[in-house]
Amino acid sequence: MRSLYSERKTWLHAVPAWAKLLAVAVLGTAFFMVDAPWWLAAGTLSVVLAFASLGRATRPARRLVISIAIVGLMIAGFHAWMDQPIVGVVSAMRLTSACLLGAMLTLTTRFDELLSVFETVLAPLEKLGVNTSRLALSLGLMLRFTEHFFMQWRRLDDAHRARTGRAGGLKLLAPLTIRMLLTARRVGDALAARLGQ
Amino acid sequence: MPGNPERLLIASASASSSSSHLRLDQVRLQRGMTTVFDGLSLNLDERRIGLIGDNGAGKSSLFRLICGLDTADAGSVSVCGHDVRQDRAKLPALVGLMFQNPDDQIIFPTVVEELAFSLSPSGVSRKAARAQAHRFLATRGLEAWSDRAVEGLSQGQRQHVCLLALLIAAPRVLLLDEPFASLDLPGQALLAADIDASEQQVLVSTHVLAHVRHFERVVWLDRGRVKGDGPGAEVCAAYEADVAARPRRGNSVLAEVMS
Repeated sequence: MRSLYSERKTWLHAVPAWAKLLAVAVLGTAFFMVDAPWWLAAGTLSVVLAFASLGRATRPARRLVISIAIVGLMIAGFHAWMDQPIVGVVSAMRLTSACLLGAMLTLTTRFDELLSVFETVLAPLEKLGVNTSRLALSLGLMLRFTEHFFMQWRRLDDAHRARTGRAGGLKLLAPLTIRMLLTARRVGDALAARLGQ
Repeated sequence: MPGNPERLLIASASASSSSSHLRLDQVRLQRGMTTVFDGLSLNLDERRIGLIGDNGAGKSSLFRLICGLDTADAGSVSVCGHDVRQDRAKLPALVGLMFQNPDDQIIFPTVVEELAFSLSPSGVSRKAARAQAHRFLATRGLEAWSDRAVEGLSQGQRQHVCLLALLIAAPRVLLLDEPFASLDLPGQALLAADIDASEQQVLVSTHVLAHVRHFERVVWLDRGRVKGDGPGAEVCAAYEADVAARPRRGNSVLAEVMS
């Protein structure tokens, strides 16, 4: 599976995974609960600055950032056209900050650190006879697939660009789905072979 | 094909033995409408075994049967005396499969995590597994690889990570499915050296005959049947002769298009 993880160490690599997950959860929720545009603007600015502070480690996510910016602008533009510019700006800021927070987590957190966090959180279920390490792995894989989804889309888009000179857009949806299903099966096979289940 | 004059059979290679590492007995495998194997029996004991044949001959299917990913519709498959259907959980310690595409196999974003994950079926704690993976890389002079992102490695290096992830689990048998397919020449040489150096029994399926010609045994599969079985040099030569003798359909299609 492809990944966005950056091997270029940043200050955020040193922050424990649980703290990062908690921050993403709390801040992500806060951004959707707060309505005051100025507060949101301040929050978004801080997230953008924090993201920028990672410097060159953000390179793997450059295309992701560009697509977030484009979608953000489209949302803002649409609402401005509907005579609700404030709603547009607010939605764009929420989207941008949520995506950047997620990207920061992905860029700087190892997968097994995330798994450890999940396992700790799920530990009480172990008493009920649930195999928590498998459950944690499934949850973790869900996140890994989101990442892989983006990388796969990028690769297909590159292929489309190379052959037509244009971005693929929605046309990539069908091939992307097929690729993802194939990957899911192969990853499933690899896991079965390695774990013996 | 049985009774086919082209079939090479070396008595020692097919001698039945109860201590067989890998044993397939009258295996039938059906996939959809296609019968992949029908009554395939093989005892695979040699330390290095090559598997050759056209695409679709059943090379990958044979590997999938051996590591329990596919279940035979009839007959039995066993690894080191363990039936693959009954002892499914024991298989990772006995047999490791390297997939054609490293991207399908590598799940973790960094090298050390990927290696440590291989130790999880044996019940080692995550921390201990990671420490062991570090040591494992260090003994191979690859400690710099530990924290590298898999994404930043070349195709050949990723393939190498897959092999290391297999080796750290120390299975008794390694199955390498087209391992040379996407490697450059130095990468192929490195992998070939790795295979030669590994202590395990190694089965290699490949189209690059040069890599298996020196093997003590090569099995040539043709549409799910053993068409040749014996010392690498002989079987490879027979396969090459067979391919050379086939009518050049590709050329005739091209000639038709041209005319």
